Amino acid sequence: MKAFLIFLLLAVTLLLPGHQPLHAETLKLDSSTQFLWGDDILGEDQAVLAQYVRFSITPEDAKYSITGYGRIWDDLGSPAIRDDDFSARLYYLFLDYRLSKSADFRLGRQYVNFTAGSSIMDGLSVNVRDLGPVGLTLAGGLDVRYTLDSEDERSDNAVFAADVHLEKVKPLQLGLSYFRRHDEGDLAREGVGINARGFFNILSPYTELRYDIFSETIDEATVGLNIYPSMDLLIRLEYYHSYPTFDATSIFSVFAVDRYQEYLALAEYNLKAPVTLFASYARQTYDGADDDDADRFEVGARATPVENLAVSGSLIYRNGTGGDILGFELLGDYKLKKKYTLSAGVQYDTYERPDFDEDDDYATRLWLGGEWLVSENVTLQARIEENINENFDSRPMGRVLLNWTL
Amino acid sequence: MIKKCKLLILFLPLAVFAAAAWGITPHAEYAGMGIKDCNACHETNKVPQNHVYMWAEDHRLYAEKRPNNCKDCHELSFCMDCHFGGGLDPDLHASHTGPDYMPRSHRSDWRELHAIKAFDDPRSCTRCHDQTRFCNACHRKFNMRALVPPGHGTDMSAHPGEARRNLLSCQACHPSGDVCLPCHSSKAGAGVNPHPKDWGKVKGNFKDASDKTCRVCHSEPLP
Repeated sequence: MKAFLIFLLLAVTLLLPGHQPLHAETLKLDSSTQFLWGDDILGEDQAVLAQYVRFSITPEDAKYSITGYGRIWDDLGSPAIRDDDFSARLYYLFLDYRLSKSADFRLGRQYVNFTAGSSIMDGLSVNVRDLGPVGLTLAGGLDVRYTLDSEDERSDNAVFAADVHLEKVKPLQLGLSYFRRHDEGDLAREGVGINARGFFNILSPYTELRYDIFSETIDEATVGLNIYPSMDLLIRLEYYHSYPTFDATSIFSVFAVDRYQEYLALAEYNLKAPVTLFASYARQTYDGADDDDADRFEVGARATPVENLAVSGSLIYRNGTGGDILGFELLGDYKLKKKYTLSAGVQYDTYERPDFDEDDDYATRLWLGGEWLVSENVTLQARIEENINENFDSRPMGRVLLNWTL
Repeated sequence: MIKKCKLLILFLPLAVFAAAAWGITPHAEYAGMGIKDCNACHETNKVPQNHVYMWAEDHRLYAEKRPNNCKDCHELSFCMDCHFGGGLDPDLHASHTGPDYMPRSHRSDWRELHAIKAFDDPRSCTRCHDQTRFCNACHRKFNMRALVPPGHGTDMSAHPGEARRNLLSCQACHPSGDVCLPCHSSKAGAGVNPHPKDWGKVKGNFKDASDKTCRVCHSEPLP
């Protein structure tokens, strides 16, 4: 909340009439005022009023820019799951500064994402390019965690990360990163990650590996191959495995866990119409007893039969450990005179959870939405949704948004 | 030997992918295009299409590339909105819960289906949700008895397998792990060892990081 107030103060100061006027091209401001309603999953009513603000200031010929994004909201209903207090969330607020042609830094709340780990942090990240064929990123600061209704930042929760990556090397992506997180002063996570992808004619091998230093295990691995027999066809073969891992400060970190593995094959084909067809199959296994496995199938199609109409449909089937699902989804978007967009969709799923002794259950979601481009800088959006399922005979939800851009 | 093999696997990509010069093509001027038009251009220029059908699952590796093209078309808020529930300019297809928007992977009755989908890689949940806070913040609002699977708490013979398979789901209702301790602590109770087979090899790493966790179950300092 404190961080959001700083954000708000900065945004208001910049917009005050007495403030030296910023050129339109240096200030970008996006606002969205929203009203969202509908029962929560325990059937209690929610009526949320939310305000989003996103801005960036990039003065001409300056070496710096300031960027921010956040929201405030209040629930006027009486929800059972969420708090109904006034709340705020600052997503980011940072200063970018260009030190030289090949170095810059970012200071403030920011999202940093590395193969070895990611964090929302209040801190500093530095990018250095052109160190021969490689670039370097360093990041460090206080780790921020979002809770359901608020955010949590403590002075002794810290993160540090470093990433070395190849630049200007074709046809190759290659990065090596290190990440560590402290939880109330104690070291909670430490890991190394590698990401790599290559493009060699019709083949594109890729991999993403994370090594957990405490457990001395590759706790997450993706190794795959994209094959492009023609420009219209993609075939993918992929192996993935993961172990559940926990912060070393959690008692769960010392427990034995099983490895999850997934073998995936998928194909995507673009017909000339244009119609895209898609199919995938994944075999999932858990180390341990023989019956700890599942199969997941998905087939789908996406089409643009006429210029302004896009439709898509998909069918999923999952069977095995954890439960069964058979469901479909149909979606459509229609653009009218470039000013109006109409969208609609339906999802229907039947499922069986092994932890329930009942027969198959079902769930339906139907929705209809529209967007009106009122003027070049103003849009109005509305959406209504109906849910019919095991817990609700009817659970209508909706939202109305007014978006404007400066 | 095993350690050497692991290091070899880790650094294999370095050896396999040694190659020549690359330049990123700026895409900012194409930011307003539809994916259909992007794909048409890629096809003409013999560049493999991305933003394919499974892009939601696929984009992670592209996003980890440094530098990448993401910011040519997307604000940072685009990532934050999908991963952390925001919605400055939400997709009409996206449903919401309270003030938060949900990605399209959260289909139909997510209250019931998430327990099944969590088995499609238990890690997929924690890519966006804080594993110690998010799950429990919701679960504790329910009548816990209504969430207890049949046999849970009475016949404990199935729990070792269930826990090893998806330990994150245990944490969703028991964030401090207090219910594990009566049996698994060495201070009291049954003293059942919960550690993995190679614990002797790695326990020092955990102790060096934070021996507070060790002391939950062990009175004496570990060797």
